[in-house]
Amino acid sequence: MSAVDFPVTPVGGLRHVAARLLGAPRAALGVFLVALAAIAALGAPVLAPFDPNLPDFAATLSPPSIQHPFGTDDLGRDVFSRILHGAKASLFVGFASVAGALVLGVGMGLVAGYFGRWADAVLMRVMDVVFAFPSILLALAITAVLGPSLGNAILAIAVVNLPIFARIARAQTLVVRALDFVEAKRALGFGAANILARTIAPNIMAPVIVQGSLLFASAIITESYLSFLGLGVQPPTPTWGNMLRSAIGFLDLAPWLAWFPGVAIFLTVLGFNLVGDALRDLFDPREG
Amino acid sequence: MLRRSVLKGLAGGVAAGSLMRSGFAFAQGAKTLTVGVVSDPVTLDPALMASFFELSVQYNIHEPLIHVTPDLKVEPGLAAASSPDEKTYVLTLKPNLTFHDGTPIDAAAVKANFDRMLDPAAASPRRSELGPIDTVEVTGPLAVTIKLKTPFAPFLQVLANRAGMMVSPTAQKAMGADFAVKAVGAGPYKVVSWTKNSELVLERFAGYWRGPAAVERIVFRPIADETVRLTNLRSGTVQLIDGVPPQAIGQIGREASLTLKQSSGLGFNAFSFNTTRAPFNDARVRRAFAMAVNPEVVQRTVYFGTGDVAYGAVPPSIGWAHDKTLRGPRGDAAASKKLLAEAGKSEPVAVSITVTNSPVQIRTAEIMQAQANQAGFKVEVKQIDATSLITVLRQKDFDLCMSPWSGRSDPDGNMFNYFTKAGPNNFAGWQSDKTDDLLQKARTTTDQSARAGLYREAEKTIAEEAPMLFLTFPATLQASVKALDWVQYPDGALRLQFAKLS
Repeated sequence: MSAVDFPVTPVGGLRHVAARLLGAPRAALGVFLVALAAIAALGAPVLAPFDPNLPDFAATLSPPSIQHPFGTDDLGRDVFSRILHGAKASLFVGFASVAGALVLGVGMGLVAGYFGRWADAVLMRVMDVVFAFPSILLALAITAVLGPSLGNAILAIAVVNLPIFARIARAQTLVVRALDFVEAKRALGFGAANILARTIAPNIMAPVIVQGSLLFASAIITESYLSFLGLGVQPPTPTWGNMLRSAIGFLDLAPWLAWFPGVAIFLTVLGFNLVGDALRDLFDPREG
Repeated sequence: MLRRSVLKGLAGGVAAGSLMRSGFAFAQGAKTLTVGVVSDPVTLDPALMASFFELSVQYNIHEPLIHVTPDLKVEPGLAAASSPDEKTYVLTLKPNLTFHDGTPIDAAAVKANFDRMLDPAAASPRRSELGPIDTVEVTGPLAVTIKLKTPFAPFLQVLANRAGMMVSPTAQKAMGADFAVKAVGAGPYKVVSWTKNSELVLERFAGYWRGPAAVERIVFRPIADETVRLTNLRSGTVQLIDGVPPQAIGQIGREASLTLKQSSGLGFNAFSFNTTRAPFNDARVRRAFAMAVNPEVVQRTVYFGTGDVAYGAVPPSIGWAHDKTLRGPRGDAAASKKLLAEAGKSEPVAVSITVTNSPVQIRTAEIMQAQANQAGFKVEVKQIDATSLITVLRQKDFDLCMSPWSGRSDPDGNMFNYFTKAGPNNFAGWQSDKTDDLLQKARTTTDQSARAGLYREAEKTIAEEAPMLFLTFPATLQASVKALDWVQYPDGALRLQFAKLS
């Protein structure tokens, strides 16, 4: 069906995107930081010098040293190893929650935008209700009701982000639906499912992906909040949020416990934001 | 002095509303003491309170019949007590005393208080604390005679605690449910205003039996987070804090502007095994778990060496009953694996530890988790919020759950409710005829050394059967600004009639 599919993505495809991203210094920094976090997360089992959950009660709260480059925590666990393994939880929560919200939200937005009328009214009013709550409050309420765990943290963050994707997808669908090539497919007798999946969906993805990369950053922060409040991933599994939380009691005694997870969150969020900004510039037709 | 009286005149002239009065309290800062406490009280009614954190506030509003000194000696309070025989106590009240509202503190008022606490309809937790009371009679204008069904050794200690706090019967009747927020007692301070979760303002009571307190006003502010509480003390927002985090005491000791006080507490940090379901219904599995955990590591790592290692329920602060020789096999992973094999359990034995999301409890649970995992268990740590703890414990919805106790000055208060079959704090669901008998006997025996023997025997059985895992007797850790002079009590409750601000 390539004859009737109009690609809205920039000319030149993926390779072009990559070249543009790496060409701009700010975007390149973003890609570098994201890659760093990804390497830490994927390589944690190999790179971490210690078992992140293995306490050493003889060496608690020791400052950064050659053996423990980031020091040890209140139970004598190696902070460097916990930061690496924490990347896994943070990135996984970010990825899973954004992916979940993206798939579901885009699906709803497509249906609402394409069919209009009552489908639009029902779906978008439900999204408005979700949107009406401050996101952190909603996430807190969901995890408080369902109980603290990794899965529930992902679910909570996904629900919070759902309306954002749904709205973007709906708005784009409204635009694309009226274009001639969609009209052409309809005239050729293609069903709604086929048109939505094969024609409209690929053509509304650019802004959705930009939004996704930005929300990835905010999902990591939300996970930190939840873990910080004891509502996220459960101990002893390290996440940057729960590491910060246990560090707060030792700000006088062992400030490095707060530095490293704080810096890790900062750099990763910065990385995703820079990449998201660069993607937005790239896809923006006015600057393209 | 002149400035203060001018201000007082101004304030009186403009308005007598509580808003104006609290503004006035701010103006004379030096005479106001602001205290950072761990939690807001739920009720100010001593007959109904159920949380440890209410105690600090209560001793300032309410006065017990009997007073117990910081070294746990019994002294007269509102009343002097005599005991003509083991089952009779005569309380003689000091003359010419009134409650905050002017109601006289006489025998009739004391009887009204007992009647209320003992009335099953009032559902007062004091009823079980007061033990085997048979009758309470007015035997003179200032004399009350209490007859017991059986001797009850901890009775005077109980009257020095919540159950001895007398409230104005007229105010209590007139206010009804409002009494819980306005409370009229006989303590050194009376309630001015209470904004829940924000501040409780107290003003000194001129008619207090020891004479008016030195500090004019007390403001209690609940600050749940230990670090924030300490920061507020450092910044001068509060002048006294309860619950100093143990890891901070080294630092506080070096700060010239602060005073740190620590003493052996009365309570324990311990965990209840759920003995009503697998796998901890098997004493061998409980013992195996207890063996795996090393309480010395907990004391060093979580409590930073403060307090004492616990193997039983009676702390060293109750010197006559504390058993120094009590030890359990601890920190021995090999022995614990052997026991699990004997019990026919295939490793790993999956269990959960339930704690509230307080940093101390989470750290404790993580240590137990690490140690038990090396001894053939597979431990999951479950965090719940503090308000659901009591429900989880009562419904026995746990394998191993924190069940710390603030402690009482008599060993009966640390053991009877935890280890007798029908004890309200028997969260373990443990049933032992032998321990039941020992603890019954220990409370009805009045000879102290005989009692000490009974408690030691009970503690040994408990250590063997391990319905609970004892870890630490936490120290009472409180800190203040240097300018405040105050007295620390082992139970951690603040009695600010003894405080002076310079």
